[in-house]
Amino acid sequence: MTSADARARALAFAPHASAPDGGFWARVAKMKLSETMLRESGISCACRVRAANRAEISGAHALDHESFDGLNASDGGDGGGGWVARGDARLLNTREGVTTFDREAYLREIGEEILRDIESGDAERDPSRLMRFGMIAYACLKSWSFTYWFAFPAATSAEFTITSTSVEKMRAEDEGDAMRAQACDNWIASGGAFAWLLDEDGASARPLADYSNIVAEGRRPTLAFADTCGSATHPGWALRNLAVLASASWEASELDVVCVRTRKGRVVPEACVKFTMFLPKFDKDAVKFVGWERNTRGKMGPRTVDLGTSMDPTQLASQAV
Amino acid sequence: SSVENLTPARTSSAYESQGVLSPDEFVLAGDALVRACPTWSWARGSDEKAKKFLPREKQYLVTRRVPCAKRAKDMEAYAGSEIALGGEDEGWVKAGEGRVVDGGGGDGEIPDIGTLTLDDASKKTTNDETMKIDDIPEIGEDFEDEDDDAVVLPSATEIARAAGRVNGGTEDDDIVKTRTYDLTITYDKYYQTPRVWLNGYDENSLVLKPSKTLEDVSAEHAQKTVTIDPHPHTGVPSASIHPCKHSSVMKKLVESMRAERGESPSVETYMFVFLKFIASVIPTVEYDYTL
Repeated sequence: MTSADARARALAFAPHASAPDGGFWARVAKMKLSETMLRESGISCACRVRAANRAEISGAHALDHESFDGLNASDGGDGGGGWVARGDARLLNTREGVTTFDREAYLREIGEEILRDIESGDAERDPSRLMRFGMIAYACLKSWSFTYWFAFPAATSAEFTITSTSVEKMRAEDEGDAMRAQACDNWIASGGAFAWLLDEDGASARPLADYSNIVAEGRRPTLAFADTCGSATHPGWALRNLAVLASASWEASELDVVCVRTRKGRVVPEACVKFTMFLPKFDKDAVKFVGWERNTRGKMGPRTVDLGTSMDPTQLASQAV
Repeated sequence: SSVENLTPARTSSAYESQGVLSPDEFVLAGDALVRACPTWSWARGSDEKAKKFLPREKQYLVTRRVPCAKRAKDMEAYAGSEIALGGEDEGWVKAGEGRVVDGGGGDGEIPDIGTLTLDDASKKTTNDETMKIDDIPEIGEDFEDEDDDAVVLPSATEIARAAGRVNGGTEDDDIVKTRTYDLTITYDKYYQTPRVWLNGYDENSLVLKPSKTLEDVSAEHAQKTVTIDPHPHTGVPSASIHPCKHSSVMKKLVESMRAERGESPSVETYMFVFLKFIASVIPTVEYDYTL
């Protein structure tokens, strides 16, 4: 690991992006009006996540009219290659509420649930628990505009600096890469979880919970995960909590990683990137959480979308010819 | 619609003779699409809006986050204009043949007309919307940044790119900002054909107003064949390519395939042919449809 260490540099992660659609906002408006009303307490919701399917654009956390209907894990599947992430939504009563909301406490609350799931082993058995998210939103039902802010909590600490070898594109000509990609494609097609392990030879995919078995067999596992990020130079956000799991549960200090991406819906080597990451020991007592989404100007802040022209019954009626 | 409710679902096959599909054939054709192109999948939709003539798990087809980097008029500017079809196909166009013109001559007019009409159309639809957007009081206040060294900052990337230098280890050259679309294909019982719906997101992943979708429709169609209607499964106003001419176009395409191959294409290929035809309407939306 000495030569690898010399090349290691701090690893940076591309943040998750939210993509709530018009159907989602129509449901939010309906819920606020007739179900939650003035209550601001949490509502469980879900979003769909896919591996990046294009080099030039990253995937996003898609929320739609079904997001509050208790999507099953298989619903994200969309028949393969998709997963469901669960989260919590707070429908606030005022626009100011969004800016004054205790975001730090909310992030910590969700983040600590993730840590508990890592400790209990639940996250190893059901890795989607690592993708838990939060959202605060204010629906202005007069103008049909929605102000919202998503949080994708990642656990870290001042000392928990993950380093890695340089991020490399996998190659179709490389036999090992081709075999690994095939094993990943099979895993996804069989409805496997969003993160998994590859056995040392790369020929077979196994669940995360097999980590200690593989190591006990004297082999070196590779961590693979469906990466919503399409960048050739960075892994996506989901790897952060996976890295915490690897350090905290497996006590791994070095781990080979494959960021699994697709082209036309199938895993191909040239879409994926790989590297070896080096993990310091994760200190739970020093933990902090990050992950509030940036606004359209790339700054910390909520986003606003105005759907008045397409959804407000009054505006629609006045436009009708 | 109420007309649709009163129309009985087709039971016999007529995709060859009339270019239409029965609900069962829609499912067959959709299954073939999902098998060949895993980016497409079946959606079950909500219980209350489920169509009884389709299997509960296979109500409509969906592909999400399809990129659309250029506006249709920019594409037409270099790919050559489209030729409007007359007769039975009135209202539809043959894509991208403007550049095959020898000498230019009279055909030179076509791109101008096409571009002009789209410009007019987009002006009409965007003028009041642009004002509307400016009206939204964005929360201008910037909040304190998170203390996080391991994040790739999109803004830092743009600044670094503009300055033409690498910003430490956090630059990302590959990701571009582009519009994306969720495409859905529903079965229209009245016209007995698939129907395509477009729900877009702007470069920042914010929901795109349906009328803005017109910018991604080729000039001819933006005027005539794209309407904004409530999506049959979500109820949300969405841009849709109106299916009134679908069957006659599909009939022609099936006939020409038969002439070419000497045998009729199977009903499983319907969706691929259909999506190829839809690509002439929305030429810059890069969805998968190849076998």
